[in-house]
Amino acid sequence: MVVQRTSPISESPISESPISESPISESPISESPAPADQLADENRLAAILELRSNLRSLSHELRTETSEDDVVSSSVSELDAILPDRGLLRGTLSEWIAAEPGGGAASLVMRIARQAQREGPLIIVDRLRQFYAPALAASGTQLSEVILVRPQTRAHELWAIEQSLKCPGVGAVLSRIEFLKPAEFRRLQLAAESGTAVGLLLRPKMAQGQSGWADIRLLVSPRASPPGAFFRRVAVQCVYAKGGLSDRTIELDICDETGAVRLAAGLSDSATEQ
Amino acid sequence: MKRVLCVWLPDFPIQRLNNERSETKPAACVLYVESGNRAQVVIASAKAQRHGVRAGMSLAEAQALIDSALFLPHDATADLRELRNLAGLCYHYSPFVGLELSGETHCLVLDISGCGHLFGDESGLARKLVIDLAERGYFAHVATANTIGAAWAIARYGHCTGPDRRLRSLPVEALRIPDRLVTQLREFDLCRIGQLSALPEDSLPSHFGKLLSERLGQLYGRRDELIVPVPQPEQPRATWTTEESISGRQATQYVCPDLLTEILDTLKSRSEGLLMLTLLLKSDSTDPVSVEVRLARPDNSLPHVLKLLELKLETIRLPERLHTVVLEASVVATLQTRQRGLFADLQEPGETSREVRGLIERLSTRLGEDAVVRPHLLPEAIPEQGVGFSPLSGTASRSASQALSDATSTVSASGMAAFTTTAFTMTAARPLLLLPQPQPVQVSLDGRQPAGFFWNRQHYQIVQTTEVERFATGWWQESGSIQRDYFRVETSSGAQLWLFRDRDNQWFLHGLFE
Repeated sequence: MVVQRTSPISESPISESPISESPISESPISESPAPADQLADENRLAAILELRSNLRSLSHELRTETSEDDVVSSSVSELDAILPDRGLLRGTLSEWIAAEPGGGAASLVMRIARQAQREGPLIIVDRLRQFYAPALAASGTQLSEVILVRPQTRAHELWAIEQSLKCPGVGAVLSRIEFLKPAEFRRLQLAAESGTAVGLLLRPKMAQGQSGWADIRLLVSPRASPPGAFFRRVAVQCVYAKGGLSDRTIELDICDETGAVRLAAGLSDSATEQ
Repeated sequence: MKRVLCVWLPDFPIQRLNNERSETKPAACVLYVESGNRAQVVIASAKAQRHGVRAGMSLAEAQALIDSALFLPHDATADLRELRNLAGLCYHYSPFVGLELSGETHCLVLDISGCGHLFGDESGLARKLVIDLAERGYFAHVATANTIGAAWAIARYGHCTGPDRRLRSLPVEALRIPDRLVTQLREFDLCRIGQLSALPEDSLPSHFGKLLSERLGQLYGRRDELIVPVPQPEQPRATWTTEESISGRQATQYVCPDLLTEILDTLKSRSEGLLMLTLLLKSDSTDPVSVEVRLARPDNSLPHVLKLLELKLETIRLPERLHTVVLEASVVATLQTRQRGLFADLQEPGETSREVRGLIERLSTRLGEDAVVRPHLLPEAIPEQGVGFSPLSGTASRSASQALSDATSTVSASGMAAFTTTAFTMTAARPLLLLPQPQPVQVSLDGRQPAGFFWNRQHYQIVQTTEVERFATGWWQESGSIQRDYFRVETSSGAQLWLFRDRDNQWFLHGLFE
């Protein structure tokens, strides 16, 4: 079938339009009537707003202008101190890389999840079926406000995380995910931005070498606790933080019995110096 | 004690017409019935009555009195149909709903024995029912009593008693007796039920027939009277058949939305929402395929239900060459509406928001109901058995508070001692990650304590070990006799893991204190 092109657009393609020959600065603004002037102002304002919103997604400083309510504290002041907003922002992703299995990363993540539960349920996407409810309850998480999603396949797992991050009214989304392609990660980050949840991703050590789209990447490594101590010691390093100082490390002592967290005694001076 | 609620809908045919035809509302309305060559007024609206129109007068006479009124033929069948629909609504309040049409009134009778507490109390139930009827455009008088006769009498004539509000002060018409008998009683100056009660009961049948003493007996509960239940309305169902078979994709794209719209329209008219939807696809080539979609709460929003159905259909292989598509609302429930507050975002504690409920439904539909759960603790000694999971979809009756009470239920360890959850978790730390299956590890021992182990092709040296914690079950339990000694160990790098030794001295890794 032959299509006869009759539209004027096809006769004068956009690429040939002499945009360069008529720069905006030369447009006769002063000669235009008042309504057109107003229209131009509105267009300009709309353009500025659009640019600002685009910039907001890239620049961290602009985003922090929003509200303190959007910040979820870890309830540990020393840990908050190494995070750019003294906590995690709603609508962002954070990566918690466990340097070693049993290193204590999840126990710190649960503190943030517990705080985020005030604004909505905690959704745990657990494909490997490893999260243990009695320990969740012991960490102060309200089990009545926990939704456990247990997908069978990896594709379903990613879909469930994305859907949960997008949904308004969710407090936090937590998942233990090993490998993420950059496109998948970007997809999750965009989903997080459109929702209200704090996205918490628990990653293995191998994820440290992969690029990521999370706003914050923290490396949690275990440290040998002093002999006879009734607490465990972990080192938390802020590997990357959008808009903030990275590469800051603190050592924390966590008491599993009481749930208390304090700065490790030996390093308190050096930590404050940073 | 039996409790009966009676709903009297005054001037029901007029009310029904007012609801169906909005133009009849402002004008006076007169309903007539034709018998032979004569047309007779059956019922007249209050406006028409003010002009002197009365039931029983001829249509011509009524037209002479008021010419601006709307004169319509009376449709008794439609009235009955609508009354049965309203009975369907009343089934949300009582398991037995019957009609009571004596004295040309339109009444519904509900057996509400034991139902009152579900709405606070009986008056709460009655108030909610009146509001529901008002939302449908019906004005009603409601009364509760111990017998059908008394409830009917108070609902119908309770508002015209004097200061004495007892049954004895009601007029004799309240006994559900024919007009002929009422006239006869009035000839003897017997106008009130109290006067009849004062007469010897044996003398009544010989003077006024058996019906009067029977009605008196039913009023005071001396004689039994049963509610004849109205059959409950069938679940909405929509069917589409074709002679030329179509593909599964076509069916889901074009047919399902139409069928679903039809079903949801029916439910909307009943103020109900879907809880479970069943789609049946019949094909020439394969066996019929049935798909079920469950919702967490009653809903009748077309885009939402359609989205859930599409998500579910993505998970199955649709048959080709379909000739029949049947969609049925398998489980329905009354829509839960809440008055809009001054602060729209104010939410009751434990209540999930509409968006989160929608998310739960989407996840459950695509991943399966068992994949979206809420954990709760169980009083089991063996760690992996100490957690139960309750699906979140299709459990409208299960509230968050119930789940919370599960979480705070008592937990007994080893069947010996009972602790509350709080005490249980405070005294013994549990790993955040528990391996679904304990993994066997090779452990090197230092006396009775583990000194190192191989796991995941790596050697871990143990530098610290907590005190042993023993878990044991009795031989009479389903899992048999299990005995495990658990150790929380810390490796040289500071990682903490949960190891156990079973009765055969085999070592396993069971959890990570992640």
